[in-house]
Amino acid sequence: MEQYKIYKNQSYDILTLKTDKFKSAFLEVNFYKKTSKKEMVYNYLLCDLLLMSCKNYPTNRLLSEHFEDLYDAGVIGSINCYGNTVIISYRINFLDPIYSNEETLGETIKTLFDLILNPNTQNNAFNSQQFKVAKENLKASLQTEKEYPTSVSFKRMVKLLDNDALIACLDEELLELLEEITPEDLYAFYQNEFKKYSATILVAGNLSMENVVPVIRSNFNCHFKKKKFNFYRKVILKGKIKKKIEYEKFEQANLVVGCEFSQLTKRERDIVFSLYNVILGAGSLETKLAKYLRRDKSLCYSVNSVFLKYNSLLTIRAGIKEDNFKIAVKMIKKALKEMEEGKITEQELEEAKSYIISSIKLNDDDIYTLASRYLFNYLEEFPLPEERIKQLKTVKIREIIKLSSKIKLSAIYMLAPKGEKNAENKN
Amino acid sequence: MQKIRIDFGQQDIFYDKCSNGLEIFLVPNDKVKSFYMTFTVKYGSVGTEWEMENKKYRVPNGVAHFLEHLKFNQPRNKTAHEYFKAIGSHINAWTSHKETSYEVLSSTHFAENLNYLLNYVQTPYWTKTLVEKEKGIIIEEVKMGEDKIGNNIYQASLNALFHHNKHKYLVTGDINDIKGTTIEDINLAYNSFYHPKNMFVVITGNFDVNEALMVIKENQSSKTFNKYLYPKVIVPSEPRSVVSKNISLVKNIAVPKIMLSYKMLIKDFNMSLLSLIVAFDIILRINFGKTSSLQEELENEGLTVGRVYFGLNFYNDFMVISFNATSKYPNELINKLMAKMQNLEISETQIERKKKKLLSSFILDTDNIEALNQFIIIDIIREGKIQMNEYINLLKEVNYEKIRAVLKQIKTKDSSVVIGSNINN
Repeated sequence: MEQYKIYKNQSYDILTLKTDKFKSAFLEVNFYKKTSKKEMVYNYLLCDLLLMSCKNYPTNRLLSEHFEDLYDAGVIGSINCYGNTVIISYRINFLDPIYSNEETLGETIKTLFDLILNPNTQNNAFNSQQFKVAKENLKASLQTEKEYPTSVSFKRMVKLLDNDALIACLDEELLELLEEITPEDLYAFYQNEFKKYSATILVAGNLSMENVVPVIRSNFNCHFKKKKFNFYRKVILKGKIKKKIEYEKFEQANLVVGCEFSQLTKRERDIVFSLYNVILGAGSLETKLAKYLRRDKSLCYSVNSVFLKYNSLLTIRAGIKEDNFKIAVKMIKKALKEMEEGKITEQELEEAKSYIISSIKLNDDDIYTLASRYLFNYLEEFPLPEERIKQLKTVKIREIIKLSSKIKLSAIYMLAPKGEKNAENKN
Repeated sequence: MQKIRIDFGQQDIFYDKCSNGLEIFLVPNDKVKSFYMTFTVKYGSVGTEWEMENKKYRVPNGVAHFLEHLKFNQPRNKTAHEYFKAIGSHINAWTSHKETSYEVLSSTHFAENLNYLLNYVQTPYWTKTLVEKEKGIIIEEVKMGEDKIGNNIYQASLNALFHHNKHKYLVTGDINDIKGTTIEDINLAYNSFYHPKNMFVVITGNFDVNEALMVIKENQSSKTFNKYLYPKVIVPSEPRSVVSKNISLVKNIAVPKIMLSYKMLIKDFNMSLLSLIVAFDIILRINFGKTSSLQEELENEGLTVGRVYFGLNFYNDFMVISFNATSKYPNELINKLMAKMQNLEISETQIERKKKKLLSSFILDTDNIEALNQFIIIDIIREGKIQMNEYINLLKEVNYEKIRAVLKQIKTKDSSVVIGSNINN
């Protein structure tokens, strides 16, 4: 049983999904706005700090005990970039009250809003001790990005294309911005800037939504501006391919190729591209990239393509030996060219459709992915599964060829292991 | 067919066994749309030496994992990936210390998926060319692992703890092991271990139990297998002591990481593995978890970045309690953790709170068909039977006296520390 309903009001809408499929439920508050790197840092810090404590539970320890009392409820904060728009989500997961205690539902909902709206502050500033802990933790997290070659290589590739893209923001840049923030600054941001965000709430589980919605409204009596956002990064396709090779202390070379695209239709963006991506390099070892790089040439263990719809980017990543750089790039170009020339069989297309349709159905069995599709349908009219499947089945090869003509290989980046022979970085 | 009712969480597990010895565990759930199947062989990375009919056999490290890679190759230049992709299924496999599992996740073509899973895993197909080709791929997998700091620290910790225990070796083997693996090694491992008597199927999700049983039994009865010779993996004897009390791992690490591990003999506790799991889950959460005074102290003093993570693992006759964390002050953090291990505390209130939390977690965790499938695999590998009801009962019954009895047996003498950083500590 699934019942989806939107409860609207002037400030924010509540999207509810009543389903008896799961033993868990969740409530998520999503804030979104066009943003900048500086604001991102404030939001990272704020997210960590808000989930540490609140006025009613002024330490992390007391808050953790409270969650245990609520039958192992848990909160998660996340920040995701869609083009130049950020969505900040605060979510509380909890056991279906049937399995715990119906009386704790109100308190569970209240706790999330306490964290967001009643932070632990004194004298127009966040608690200085907790601020210090959150800042040091965030600093350390940002510093550890260097340890992850896949993350570093991806961001540096994107930087070749767009230095200001939020997803290219290297954590060392954010560190500089973080240093300057004080507890007072952060509180001023929270008081003044945060309220400029738009908000949408998502609730899912086997809950009586008619009773839950009033509890949400009374606990979250805030005013937000409702806005429609364009989540997509604008791209102007340029002629030249940007290339760079850099060297750092890793064991394996990470090759990242970036392809930009522009002027896609809604059908291409929402439907055709996922088929393109699955045929090219996503989801299994039966893709063009896996065939050419892994099966035929044994160049890598892992190679895949990722369609970053909102950032107008298709990325291809492979972990290789540095010496195999040229052959790997050649194989990637071969795969891309085949897509352009329509060297795709009907069987490949039908298998890709089966695969995606199967993935859509599999997502039905996770409460969060099930509910999130309604959120994205609401925010940017992303088709719901039934419509998506209907459209997928009608896609022809010629549409994939047409889409390919709008995709341009724009950047090639490799982060290779540092050795004696390659101490200097190369372009 | 037997039915086992898991009272807490209201699940039924159906059990049966084929005439060839293959065990079957089925957990239907008509609320979900998909099904998740795993076909597991009780053979993992520690199986590098074994005895069979009074003869000893030996293969390089990493053969179980190498075999897993090769399994996807099928005759006539086909792969298992091709077949499953054509019917929209998601497949994968993994090898760990004691088992290798092959998985399928889908929502349609149930019988076809199940038949093909059984067939491709039970069809040995590899050539010298395929073996040589796979080496390059696995070597890149090893290098990918070498760039994962957590893996490196964990591996260093195992090497610090164990003199001879085979868990200390990489599941993949190292590059020399991979290069030295031959088709004969692969054949030997497959023929010794990949027998229905040493394998089991677990299916969770939306499917019909009777259909599943019929497919499996028909499939298995159509095949013949050589006699199972019950290979006995040779477990080298391992002393109580650790190899090294301190290891400094120098890598591209921006903020130091630590892993502190305690090695203890299971028999010292005189209780079942499941009882140990329950007791230590509570002890460790009370003393080191998010609600502990220690965690609060460490955060306020800036001695950890985020939380301290802890766990309990079993390695043949030994159990290891380990703690890992990121810290700008690794030595100070280690001292605090060690001091706490010497001074573990419990109270009745804390025990009751943890019990409530763990019982809730059980319901949440088993709500996911993949997680539930994994729990069953873990139970079978560890004890050869489903233990979920025993786990719940132990959890409900555990009390202050029982936990105190465990605390008295804890010995902290044999420990090792790994500090990973970009300088030699």
